[in-house]
Amino acid sequence: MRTKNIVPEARLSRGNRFLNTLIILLFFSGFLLLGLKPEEKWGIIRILMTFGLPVVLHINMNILPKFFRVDRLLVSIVNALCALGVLILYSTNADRGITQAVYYVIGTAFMLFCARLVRKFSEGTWGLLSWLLLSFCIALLASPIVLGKEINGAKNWIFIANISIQPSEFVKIGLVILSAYSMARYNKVVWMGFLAAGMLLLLLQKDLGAVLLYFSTAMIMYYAANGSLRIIAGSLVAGVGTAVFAYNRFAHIKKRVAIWQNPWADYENSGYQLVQSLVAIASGNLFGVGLGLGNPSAIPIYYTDFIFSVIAEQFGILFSALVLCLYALIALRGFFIAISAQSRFHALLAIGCSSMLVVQTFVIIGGVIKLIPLTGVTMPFVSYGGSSLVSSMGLVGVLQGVGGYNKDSLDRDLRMSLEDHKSQ
Amino acid sequence: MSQELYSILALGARYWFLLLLLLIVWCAYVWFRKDMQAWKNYVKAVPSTGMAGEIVVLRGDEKLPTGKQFILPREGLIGRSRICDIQLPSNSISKRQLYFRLDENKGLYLKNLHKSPILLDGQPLSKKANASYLFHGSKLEIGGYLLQFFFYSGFGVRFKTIDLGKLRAEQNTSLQSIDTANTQEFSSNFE
Repeated sequence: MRTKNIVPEARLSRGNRFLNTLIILLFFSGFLLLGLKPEEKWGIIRILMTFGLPVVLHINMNILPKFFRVDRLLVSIVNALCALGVLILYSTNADRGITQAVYYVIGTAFMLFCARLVRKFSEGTWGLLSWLLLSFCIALLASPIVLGKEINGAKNWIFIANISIQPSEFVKIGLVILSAYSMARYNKVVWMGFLAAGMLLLLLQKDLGAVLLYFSTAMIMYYAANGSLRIIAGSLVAGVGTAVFAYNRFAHIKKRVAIWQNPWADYENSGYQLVQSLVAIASGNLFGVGLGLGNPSAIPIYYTDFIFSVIAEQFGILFSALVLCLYALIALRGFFIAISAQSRFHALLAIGCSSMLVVQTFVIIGGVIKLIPLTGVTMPFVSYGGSSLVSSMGLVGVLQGVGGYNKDSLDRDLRMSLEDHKSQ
Repeated sequence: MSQELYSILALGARYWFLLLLLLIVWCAYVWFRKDMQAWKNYVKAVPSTGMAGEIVVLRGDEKLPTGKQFILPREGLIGRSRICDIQLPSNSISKRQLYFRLDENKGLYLKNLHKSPILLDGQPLSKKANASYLFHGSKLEIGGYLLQFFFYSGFGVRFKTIDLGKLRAEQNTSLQSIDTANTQEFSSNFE
């Protein structure tokens, strides 16, 4: 049929296969190199990781897109980042690598589910669903206050049958969907109430990173929806005011800023983590110390927040800069999907998801390299942790859903105009 | 394998990893650019992509000349503000006056966001009205302007019947002031 030649992306499949082959080659050689490490013996798990993960990558990037209508470029980039996370965690601690691989598979399923959800329910059908989602999100956010235990100064985890879940990660998706829905309907009051309640609950749990993420994503979406600079400037002033107030009021924020200003002032106690991170990045130099070598465990909690310094140490700063380029490509692709979206709701969904991922990456990598004060958020797709990986995949799934919806309507438009052309 | 051999191998492999990632980023970027270009070409080839129809100004003024055409997206705003999809530069129109959305089986759903009076085919469209639809050939009187709406073909929407003779007569005689009785007759014909 003639439509195939005109619809974008259909004719680009060769470049896609080449890209996927490169990604599979990179991670196959990485896992093979780790397999040759002298201190460990070949076992069933090691064989599974070395040869199994490339197969999973192949299935995810080459076979699944045949059955589900997804954005193939996004799928390739996201799978590359997830595999990088598994590789780097496996090189430092085999158990964590295996757990992360399991989360990666769960995350892929969740991504497909979210894509399906967005494509299935168009804007009109979200009416009742949005109220359900809203109450579910508030309940999730409130649950750690009742059920949670305190980890690293923040009480933002709940435990169900030995599995720990961070609800604020999953509420991100709900926040993006609800914001997009209420802004598309010009219904600000409910949205503002939800945002205020959510941020208050997060403040009660001392989850400052999540507050920052929610606030900035909501502001970006609001600007995209209304283009009103006055309200954005007002809310920025309010945000800065709140930050200054919090700086004067809470001791641990003051400490964070002091560490950021000069980590070497107290490098044996409070500044230890950041100093070790900077030392790791510096010792990595341009090309790194080599995969599986180096001393990543010198950084406390290297596997979640400080995973970027481990990558910089083992692979070098050039490699890590290229990893940042992958994130930038995700953002570009997300904004491209938003531009080509057919309705306000879908455009805002795409803007929200991509800006959430971008802001999160900026906040954590800026914190790790001492560009901004450190706030505890995870690096999307790469950091160790099920909640973070699965929810980031969910955000990408929403993007995929919008992209699939765009392609559906492009196809339909094309069919319509071809029929029109024939009838004339 | 001994520890020394492994470290030599790992040191050598870092260049291989860097090269592969460089290629990956480059390929992904090229693919992204090509895809964007393909989309632009597509939009050029089929300009009505993602659009619902167009609005023609039947009666304008110095700022908005008669005969000007606007292309309507499937969802958006009509008003005075610069963020509106259809900008109408009259002071009697609110910044965001009308919200419209394509409902493919019914027509173009229209909602008045403000109190200023609007005539849709001669019928006043108030803020409280819950569901009003524009059809092919519907006329909208807003802030001294008279606009007519046309769908692009292909949507399964209802068509408003247009009597060409009557239309011409109307254009000749009363372009300055819309004859409500006449348009009401139009609507009753349609119903």
